[in-house]
Amino acid sequence: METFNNQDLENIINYFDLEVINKIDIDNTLLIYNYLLENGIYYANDILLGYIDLFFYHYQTFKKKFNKLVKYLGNNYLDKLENDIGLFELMHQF
Amino acid sequence: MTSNDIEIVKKICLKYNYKFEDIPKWVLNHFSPKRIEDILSIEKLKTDRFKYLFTSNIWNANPSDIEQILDLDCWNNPKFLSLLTPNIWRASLQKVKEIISLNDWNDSKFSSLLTPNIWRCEVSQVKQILKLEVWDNPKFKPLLTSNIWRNNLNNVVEILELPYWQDDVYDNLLKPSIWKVTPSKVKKILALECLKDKKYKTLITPSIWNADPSEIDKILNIKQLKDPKFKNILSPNIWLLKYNQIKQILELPYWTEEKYKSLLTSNIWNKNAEEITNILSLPYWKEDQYKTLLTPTIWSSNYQEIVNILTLDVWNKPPFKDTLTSSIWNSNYQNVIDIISLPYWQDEKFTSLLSPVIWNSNPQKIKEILSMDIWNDNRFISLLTPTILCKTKSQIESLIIIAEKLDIDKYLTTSYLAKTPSHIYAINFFLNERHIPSVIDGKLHIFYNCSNATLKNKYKIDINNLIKLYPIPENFESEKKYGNI
Repeated sequence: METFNNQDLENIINYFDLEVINKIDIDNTLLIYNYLLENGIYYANDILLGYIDLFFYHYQTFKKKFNKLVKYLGNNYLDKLENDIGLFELMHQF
Repeated sequence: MTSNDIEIVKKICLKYNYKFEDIPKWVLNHFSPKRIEDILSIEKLKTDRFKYLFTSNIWNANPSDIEQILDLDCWNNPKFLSLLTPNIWRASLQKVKEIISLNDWNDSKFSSLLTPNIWRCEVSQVKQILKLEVWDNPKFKPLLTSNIWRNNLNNVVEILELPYWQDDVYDNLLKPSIWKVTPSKVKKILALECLKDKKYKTLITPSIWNADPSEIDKILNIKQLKDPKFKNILSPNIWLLKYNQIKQILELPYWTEEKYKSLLTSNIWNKNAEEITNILSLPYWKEDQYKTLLTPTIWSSNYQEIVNILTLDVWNKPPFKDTLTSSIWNSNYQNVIDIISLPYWQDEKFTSLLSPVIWNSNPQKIKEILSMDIWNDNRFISLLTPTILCKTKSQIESLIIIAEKLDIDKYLTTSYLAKTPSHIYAINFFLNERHIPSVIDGKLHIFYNCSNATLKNKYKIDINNLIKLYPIPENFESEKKYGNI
């Protein structure tokens, strides 16, 4: 499991609007982050860095959307997500 | 001042083009016309460089001191400029000279202390504070802020000498806000037996200074807080409220109902019992359609905003139908109205952006991004997903310019936008060096689309090392290639 390092934090600060960063709900973000790790998404750091918007969903909503994404991608969903993190964006449609 | 003197001052004011009415009454009562003229005649105070220093504070200063203070060479040194504010007139020339000449200012760890608050302090106190040995210990460094000058030396020393700082548990408390607390309050709080329990470790943050020491034990012993259903509620924010306010919230009847249980999180302490009751007694929560809106984010909003937002007539029809989720509580009514009214939602290509995430943005930001010319170009249209609204215009521009320069612009996907320009450059360089094409079968190489952790775990490529090995040239992004972006 990867941990957050200074470079990651710098990327978050440089890469997102301060307005977006200010709206992050730490408790909710942590729940989602841990949920991703528990579900084989060992690169949860990168999802947070690249798709911070997904962490604005409430934890329960996020879980529902993630399960729909898993169902949509089928059996080898972990491989598919691992090879293209852009697939996480599909969660917005579910 | 006699009426004759008043007339003299009026003439002086006329002579120096200064409004008589701007001279405070206490100045007329305490000072002679000569002293007023001595100050008004100081030429340097009329220059652009120093005119901002002419405020009511100046009347307390000695005219000869004013001239000599303004003549000091130190104002040519940028590090001292932060001291040159109207507060400087609290100090005499002697004091200004003595403080400025302290050798300690050559030590960079003290640079944050060069603020106008220093003029409140006696020179001897400034010297003694700077000489304290604790500043050699990095854990006390966060305390070196201008708030320190609001305290007297005894208080500063008394706080710094407390034995608690030897224990890492209390490191979180070594923040500038400690200077707003009296040593006796700090001691009373830290001596509390209840706080020594490891389970309360996370509650020991600077917010605890808001608490009344006599209430802390009572608060931690509130019986509801020991109930598992309230386990997510114990956070440092609890110290923002008094014991009675906390009790009132915990005794509200709502917490026995399943649908309200998820609302029991630490940010509830931003509200009081009355506000919570007003919000939770709204009729909407009886309807299934609105139940998903009951998440802790609701505590970021308020009763009136919630009512205004929910009574909007857009939620039952496209294109906004699916956007009403709890993330809307991160926004406010005016923002919601302004976003809804944007012209872009008439254009089908932009409606895919209408996800609940949109409420985390604002109309100006959305306009800035959606008015970019790139969205008229088919190469980039696939990048129009909700995530784009969390980026800044300049980040999008940088990534597009890099894609064009590296000749991969026709193959961009949303995962490309999840990278930084330095990542993209390093991956491209790495592939080129190994003669691996960046585009295979009309798709970007997998290295552009997978996560950094996957690159490391699966392909043994450490992106951070790669960025160091192949740093993006300084001017790489500066030569803009794309049309008007």
